[in-house]
Amino acid sequence: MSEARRVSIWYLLPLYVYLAIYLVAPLITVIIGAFGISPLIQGSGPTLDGFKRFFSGGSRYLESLYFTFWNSAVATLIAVVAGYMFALYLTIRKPTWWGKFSFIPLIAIYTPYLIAAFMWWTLLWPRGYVALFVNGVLQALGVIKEPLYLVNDPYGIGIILGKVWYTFTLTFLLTYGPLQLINPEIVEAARMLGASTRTIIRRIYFPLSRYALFASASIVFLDNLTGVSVPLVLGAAWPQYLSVVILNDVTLFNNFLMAFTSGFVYLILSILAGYFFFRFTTKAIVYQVR
Amino acid sequence: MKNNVKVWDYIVLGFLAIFYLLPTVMAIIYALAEKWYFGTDLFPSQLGFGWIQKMISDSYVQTAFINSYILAPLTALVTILISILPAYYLATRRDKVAIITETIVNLTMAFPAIVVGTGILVLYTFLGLRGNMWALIPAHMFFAIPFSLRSITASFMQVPKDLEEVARVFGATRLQVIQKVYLPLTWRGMLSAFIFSMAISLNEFVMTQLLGAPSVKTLTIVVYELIRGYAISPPRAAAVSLFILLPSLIGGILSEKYLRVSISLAGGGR
Amino acid sequence: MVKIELVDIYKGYYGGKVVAAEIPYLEIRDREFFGLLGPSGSGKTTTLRIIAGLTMPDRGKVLIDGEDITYVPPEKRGLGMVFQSWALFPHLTVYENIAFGLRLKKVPDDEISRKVKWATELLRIEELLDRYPYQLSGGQQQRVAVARAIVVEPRALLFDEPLSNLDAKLREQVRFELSRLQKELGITSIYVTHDQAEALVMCDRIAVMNKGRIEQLGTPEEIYSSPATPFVAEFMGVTTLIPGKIIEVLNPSAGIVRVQIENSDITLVARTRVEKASVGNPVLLAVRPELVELASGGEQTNVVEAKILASSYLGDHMEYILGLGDYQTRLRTSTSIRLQPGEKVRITLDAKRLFAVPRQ
Repeated sequence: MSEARRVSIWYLLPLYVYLAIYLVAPLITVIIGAFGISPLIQGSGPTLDGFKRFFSGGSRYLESLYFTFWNSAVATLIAVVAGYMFALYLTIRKPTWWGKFSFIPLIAIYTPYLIAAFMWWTLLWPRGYVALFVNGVLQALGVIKEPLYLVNDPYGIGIILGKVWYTFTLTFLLTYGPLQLINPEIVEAARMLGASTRTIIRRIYFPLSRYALFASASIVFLDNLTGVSVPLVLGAAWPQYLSVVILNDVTLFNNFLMAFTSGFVYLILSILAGYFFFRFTTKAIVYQVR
Repeated sequence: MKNNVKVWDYIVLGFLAIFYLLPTVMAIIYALAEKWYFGTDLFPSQLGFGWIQKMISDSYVQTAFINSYILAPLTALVTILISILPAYYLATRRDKVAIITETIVNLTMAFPAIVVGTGILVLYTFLGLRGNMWALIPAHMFFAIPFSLRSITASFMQVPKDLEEVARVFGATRLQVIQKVYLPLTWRGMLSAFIFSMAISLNEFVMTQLLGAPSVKTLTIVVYELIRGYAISPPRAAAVSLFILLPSLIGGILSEKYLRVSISLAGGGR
Repeated sequence: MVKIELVDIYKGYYGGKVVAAEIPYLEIRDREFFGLLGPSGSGKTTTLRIIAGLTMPDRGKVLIDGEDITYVPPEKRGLGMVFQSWALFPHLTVYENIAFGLRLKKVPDDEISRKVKWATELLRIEELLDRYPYQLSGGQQQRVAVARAIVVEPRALLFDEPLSNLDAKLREQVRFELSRLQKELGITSIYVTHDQAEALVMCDRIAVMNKGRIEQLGTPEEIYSSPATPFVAEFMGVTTLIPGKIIEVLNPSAGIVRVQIENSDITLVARTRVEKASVGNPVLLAVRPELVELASGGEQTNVVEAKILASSYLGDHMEYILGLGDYQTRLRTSTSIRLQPGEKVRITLDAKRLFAVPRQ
């Protein structure tokens, strides 16, 4: 291999130029804007007012941040557990119908977020089929008296369902591959040594796929945390996701100071989550190579 | 005993089918429901193509349609073009810079679109690019680049090094090698990156909402306006949704069948 | 006492178009080292997996000491298995790999430690306990796989071509060790292989399989020197099958007959199956290189003319391709004898070992 002429580092130039303009520059404007420095803010000058308002007790922003976080976490938990279990189910049971119907979960991947949110809205609004079915069953069982609101509700049930729809498939895709890579003879060897299916999941499948699982959990959490379309359509008037709050501050209220401040906080949160994602994916790759 | 377990298999399939197909079916029903008295009826009382025809002939929707379907392929094209040279570097030279670059690109997915969009809004306000359709292209590219880069790099990595060395021996410059060896051999990876980038652009909501306002409307924006805007109309929204949904799904089926897109995007190529 | 029986086993695919295994009856005796030998697709691995419980037969029964275990899941059969890829658990150390089965049985730690020590000493891998599979060579991994299977003291051991991923020299060495180990432990063992030399060396009895069915069941000597069918005759050793017909029975009780080669005047004295020793029966003469020698002049029987077609120098001996009429076989001589291609020679075929395989 001729080492003499190496690929020039200038080949990366187009990419870095793009990132400089469309990633670095915008983020910088947001970050300094959070401190009050921006032409779009009236009476601009360095200030910590934005942060004061954001973090003052009982502020809308804190409430929104909290709601965004726990709602995303719940949605992530449901999607990741269900998605992983589905991947395990396919690996262990190998159902005959999978060959023909494997496209079904992929429908979610190829459906635009906004439209998916709208479709779920049609199912979850009080006269939607899912709402009617769920409320009908719960009322018949005597669990509730009044019908529940499943969408545009203060708990974000609709948001969770809308997000799970897409992220279930995502988790399944990210964990199915590594599970398939496991040598099937290892599973058979464990069986011959006396392992039940539960033991095999606990001692073979899980240890060998857990980094893929954690990596997908991180990516799903990030996606849930930062999305706009789904909370916008399926969320209530209050509480709202932080992303929706920012959107409204920019497009409706022209309140750029708070938009920048919220953006700054949002950035910190997602960088943290992204850091974990990075660590888990590298570990996942190293593990597979072994 | 065996049959008992098989029943569970079909239950899972049934649940899965309902979970994923029902929403899709809803969009179609709403679009075809010419008359539906929601208060009393469980199903529409009259089906027909009325709403769809209305939306097709609506000039507002038509403009949005054209905008969407011009932006999408252009976004995809520019995304691919911008990815080729970096992908070549990443595929052939696995040094620290390559790893750092890949990490940075992957990290872009971590940043909230709304935040980046707000930042770009500030820049565009300065440059007077708000409401400019062509200026939307780079904004749409933001989410397409990580996938496209990964897909093309993975495809490039599969090209045998010997081919490049042979071409170089015959006097080809690096750019010629890329043009004549890598591109023809990796058209599948490029095509799947193209299709996925198009899908991302069609889906794009936040960037268009922030940067395109008030003049540039894409189909996604129109759907949103019909759901939450001033004139809420679910059937109209459903009809317009179909204009994005159906091509998306068909494109998805084709690329899965022939290109196994999702596997390569999940990093399966490595 | 561990005796394994297969009764009326059938496993087919594609609605019967492909017969993976069809075995009316097979018995593997206590403490026996039993071989399932055949080419790929012969059904040997399917049969092993049916015994293990990893594959369910379409019909038939599997019995261990008379107990019907056909529908017992593999984890409850108490059998040990060594896989072709060795299937070590990549995320566990060698110690934990071997201890895996014991931990599942909730054996206390100190006893596990003792048993693992016993197994690793037997397989001579004591110093590898802290390593991970990816740090081991093929030969080492194979030993760990065997240790893991025997440490749980299974009722019987199943081997699925465990040596096929090792290089030739190592394979020869390990063959003897495995055979010795089995005799020492006295465990009933079933060994699947496509390598006939391996089966001959290691097994007490061999079932030669072809297209899902057992063609012959017998000791290595029986299989090699008295093949029951043309397939078995060709599979074992380097064999040329020459068609002929029995024209005279010389010794009915020993099955000695005279065979006339088809479309030729040449007749040869050979041995055949006693029950098939009748005039007129069509046979195939199994001519192997070890039966062919240069005629010194004193022989009476089975002296034939042949032509040297090609010659090769193999260092310790010469090997010639011999033309016998329309057929070919090989002749080996010491390097002091150099024959030239085209030369005509007189050779003799050992009548005591020449076998005539009955033809349908």
